[in-house]
Amino acid sequence: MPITNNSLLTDLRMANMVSQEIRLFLADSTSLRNTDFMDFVGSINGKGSDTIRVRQAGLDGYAGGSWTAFTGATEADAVSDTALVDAAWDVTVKRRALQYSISDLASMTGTGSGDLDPFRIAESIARSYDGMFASLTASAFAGFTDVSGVSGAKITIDTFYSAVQKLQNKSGKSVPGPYVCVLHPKGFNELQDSARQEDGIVGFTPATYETIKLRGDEYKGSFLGVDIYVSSYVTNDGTNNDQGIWGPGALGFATGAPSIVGAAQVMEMDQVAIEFSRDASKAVSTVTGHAYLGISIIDQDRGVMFQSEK
Amino acid sequence: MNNYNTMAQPWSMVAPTNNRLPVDPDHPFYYKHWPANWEFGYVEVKKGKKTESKPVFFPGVHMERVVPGVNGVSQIRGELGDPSSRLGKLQSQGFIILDPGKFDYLRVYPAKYGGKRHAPKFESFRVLAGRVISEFDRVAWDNWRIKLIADGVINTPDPHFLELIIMAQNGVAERLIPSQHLPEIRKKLDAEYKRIEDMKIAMSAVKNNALQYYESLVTKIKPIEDQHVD
Repeated sequence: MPITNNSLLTDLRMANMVSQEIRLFLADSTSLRNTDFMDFVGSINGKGSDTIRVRQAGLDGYAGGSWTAFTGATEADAVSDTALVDAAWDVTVKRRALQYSISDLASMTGTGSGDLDPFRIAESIARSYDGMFASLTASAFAGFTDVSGVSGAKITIDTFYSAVQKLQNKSGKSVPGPYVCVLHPKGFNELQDSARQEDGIVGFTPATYETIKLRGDEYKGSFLGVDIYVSSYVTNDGTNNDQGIWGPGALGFATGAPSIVGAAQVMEMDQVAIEFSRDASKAVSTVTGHAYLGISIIDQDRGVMFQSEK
Repeated sequence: MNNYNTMAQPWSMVAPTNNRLPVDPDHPFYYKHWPANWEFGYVEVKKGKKTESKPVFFPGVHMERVVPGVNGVSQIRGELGDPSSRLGKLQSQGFIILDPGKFDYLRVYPAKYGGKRHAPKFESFRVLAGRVISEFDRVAWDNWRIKLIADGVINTPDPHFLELIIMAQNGVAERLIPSQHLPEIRKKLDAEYKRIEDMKIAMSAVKNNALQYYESLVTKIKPIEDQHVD
């Protein structure tokens, strides 16, 4: 009688063995944080407020509604003063936190490096930051004043053109590019469906391995010179997805970095401060991540909210 | 001797019901209207015993969530934000803010993790096979928006903005012209022409007597309270 695997169960062989690597659930963790499409407006540390006011003034010719022009006076005419146009946008920073606790037994039964332990959890918290950033970005661009797209209808080449053209002609002024568009995955599929029915010369440039490595997992390609990303964090109003298309200078973010005093151990991991604490009586370690972030529209003129059917 | 029978509770096979929507909590919101944002559509009105479709421009009413840390909203506590600074800014830009307390469009559901889900009264939820299916009562939503104009909450549209919408729609039709020899494209093109004609009818009604037009629609549509919005 041969020795079979079945006969060795469960004294000499195990019914199953966990994989060495812990694979990740499908998730969306790409943010535009390190791109030209998000302006870093500063840190609130030592500023005396949790809010940074981004100031705008009609200098160097860039007035609020039109280009400030010289007037054609005769050689002896008196000229009148030009009023200075100004505006301001507030970026308010708020604390956000993420915490996990793990018992010593759960930690010690791990199968080596990469398994669940307080350090892997700390790494996980730090990597969650970009998801939060993307979520707040989506909430911010849903507030653009100008709206494009057709409510309750799918995205088509026509609605996409219309959104881009709204940026290209914002009451007679053109928003300087490059442009980025963040679509809900459903919206991107609709755009793709519409694009493949086209027979003109304007083509969709899909993302390649290199561009995805450079720009992040959720980069999908470029169309009409607009970089397209998908994001599951795009908000909806019950009937429409509130997507966004904008140029540099439309959205800004501010951060803060805490000076943690009294913690057993603190690790600075990118924008997240990780704090370890321990309840010895329960043999439980707690890992807490703190992040201070605010995202806001800082120039309404440079962006458009792009609606399509939810 | 103690009688423990009085402490006994009847055993029940029925598991305690979970009266929470299995969705993540979200933030409260308010609706806002920007006088340049209009949407074209149709509304069903009564004509004798029948109904007919009337072309109309609806005000673009958009949702803005009150998320602390976003667009200048400061934190009151937890995820509860203070939108006063943002609202002030929007109003100074000419937005019309629809207060949920006054216009009664906000519904709050218990959600996961002890949080709350905030949805418009036009949206309803069902849970099927572990999935949350939401439905939006578009007719009630459209009628509500028309009523906002008839009630004077939102001003009637300026024809300038409607002309821009018609111009954009003309562009859609023009793009189909080179392929109109294909029967399916021809059908699409005819539908676009019809839509443009209807837009012009709606704009003409706005130009002649906008408020009267919207008021007449309100009297002919099904009353809001009869519709499934709650």
